[in-house]
Amino acid sequence: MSNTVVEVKNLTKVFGDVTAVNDVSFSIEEKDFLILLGPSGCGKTTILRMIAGLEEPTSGEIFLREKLVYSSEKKIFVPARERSVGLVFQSYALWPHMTVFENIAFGLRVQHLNSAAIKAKVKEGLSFMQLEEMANRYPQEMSGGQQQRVALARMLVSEPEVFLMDEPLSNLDAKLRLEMRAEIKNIHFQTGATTVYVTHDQVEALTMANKIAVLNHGRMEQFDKPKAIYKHPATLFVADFIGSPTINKLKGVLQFEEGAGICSVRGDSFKLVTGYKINTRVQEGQEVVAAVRPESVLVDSVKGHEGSINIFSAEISTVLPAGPETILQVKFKNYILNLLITQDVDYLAGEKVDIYIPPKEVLLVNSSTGRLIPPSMNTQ
Amino acid sequence: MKGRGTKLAKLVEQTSFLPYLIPGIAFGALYLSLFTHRIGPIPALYGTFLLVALVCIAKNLPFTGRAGITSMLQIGSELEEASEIAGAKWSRRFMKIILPLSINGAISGFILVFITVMRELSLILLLVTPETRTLTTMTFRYQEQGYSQFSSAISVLIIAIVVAAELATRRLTKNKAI
Ligand SMILES: Nc1ncnc2c1ncn2[C@@H]1O[C@H](COP(=O)(O)OP(=O)(O)O)[C@@H](O)[C@H]1O
Ligand SMILES: [Mg+2]
Repeated sequence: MSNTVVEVKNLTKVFGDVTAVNDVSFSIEEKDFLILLGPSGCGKTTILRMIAGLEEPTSGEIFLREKLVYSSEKKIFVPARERSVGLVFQSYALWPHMTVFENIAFGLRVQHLNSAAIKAKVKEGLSFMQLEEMANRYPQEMSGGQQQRVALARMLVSEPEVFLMDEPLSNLDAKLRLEMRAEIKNIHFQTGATTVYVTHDQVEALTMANKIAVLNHGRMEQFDKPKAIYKHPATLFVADFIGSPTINKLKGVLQFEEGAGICSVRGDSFKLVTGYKINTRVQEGQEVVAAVRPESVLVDSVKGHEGSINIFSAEISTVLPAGPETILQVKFKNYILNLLITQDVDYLAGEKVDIYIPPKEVLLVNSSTGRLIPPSMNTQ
Repeated sequence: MKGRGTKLAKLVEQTSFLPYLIPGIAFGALYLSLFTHRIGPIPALYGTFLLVALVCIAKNLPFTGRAGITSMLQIGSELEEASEIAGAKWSRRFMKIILPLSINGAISGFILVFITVMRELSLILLLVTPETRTLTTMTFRYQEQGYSQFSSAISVLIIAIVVAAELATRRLTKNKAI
């Protein structure tokens, strides 16, 4: 017996003439921390609300612990209150006419616990979220960060089967957001609760998730581990959305280097050698985008690299130091490339440099489909 | 709560604003000419307090409508959904969340309209008879007949009632502001 906790199959939601969620399928297991990631309006909240039972899908199926809670075909819709899910709303949705204690106790009262048990559980929840002194406050008398802790405590004490969180950190300032990231990760570590978490912040997704579903216009572009999403994006959209600074994209057509048996990309005025082997599944002349991560481009340290391939002269246009790392924007032909360097070198704007793009770091995207040419064809 | 933002709801809300755009005295005259004779099953309402009440209700519908609808349906549907997630049945959600939250809005909506009506003159001037006088029309009559001291005294009384009502609202909705 598998330990699938949440499974959605062909989930679709149409609002009027907007398809908010389009044929999305995935499943997650015990202790998974899934992040639904994508730009605003891509359907993340709608998916979360459908899992919670607050929104009825248009079609598809949803299973919670292998129990069918929604099916368009079988006409099953289990309401939210019977699903055993916890939800932290983006707005927190704390009840303004109740004290913090009552906010947290509400779900326990619904479960008909006796008052001693309720008191003990609320107290435990309060101390877990370091809110002991706040029990008698009203939500509107607290800071955003404190309200968020109350919302988390309210979810925790009910011990739901699945934690759902909708951009819980989006209303916090940058410093607090970093702290809460660690705190939520710690909650997940301590409770082991299966979590579905929504964010549009790719850094948040990479740091917190053990699985990421990248969404775009209601469609799921990729479902994978964070490392795989970063290293092997399935589409140009994913490659572009993940990573900061943004991935570099160079347009060109595919050209075969018969002698070496590999592919290169011929652009306007450059030739970029890739690590892709000549293969029957790629065609010479195919329009492609060569995508290269900012940290993969090396600057000035060109000595020791085989031959003189993929070494280009460029000019530094902007230097953006950020503590331990520096972002360089360099002018190369008619492109501005983003580079991320960790060496402690002081570059100046206007400086001429040589850049080196290692062939094995080049990802190829089929321009007509927007999909990556599978890395399995890569020599690496 | 569903049903918010539907076309019908918007239509109702928008038509309820029409009376507000018509000048009070004209609106009063309209009701006067409408209700001096009996029309079908509706008896002649002129001279009854009901007519005064009716015209005040119609005129203030936009406010009451807004206050009522907003407080009841837009308390933030997420607040209700949060209680649904907590496992509460509809009855408990209504008693513990919707009702306590909208009662504030209802009270402040009521007081707002109460204060407006207390100060209403032009709207009801044509509709009152000696039996259905209100404080404002009394000040008008006294002023007309030269009893300006009586008139001023009643004005002070109106102000006192309005201020008291305002203070009462503040007390009632204190600490519970949404
Ligand atoms: N209740 C609704 N009625 C109509 N359209 C909606 C509703 N909820 C969401 N949408 C639309 O569905 C799309 C996805 O919304 P949402 O799931 O909130 O996106 P996200 O959370 O990723 O920003 C958007 O285009 C939004 O306008
Ligand atoms: Mg959202």
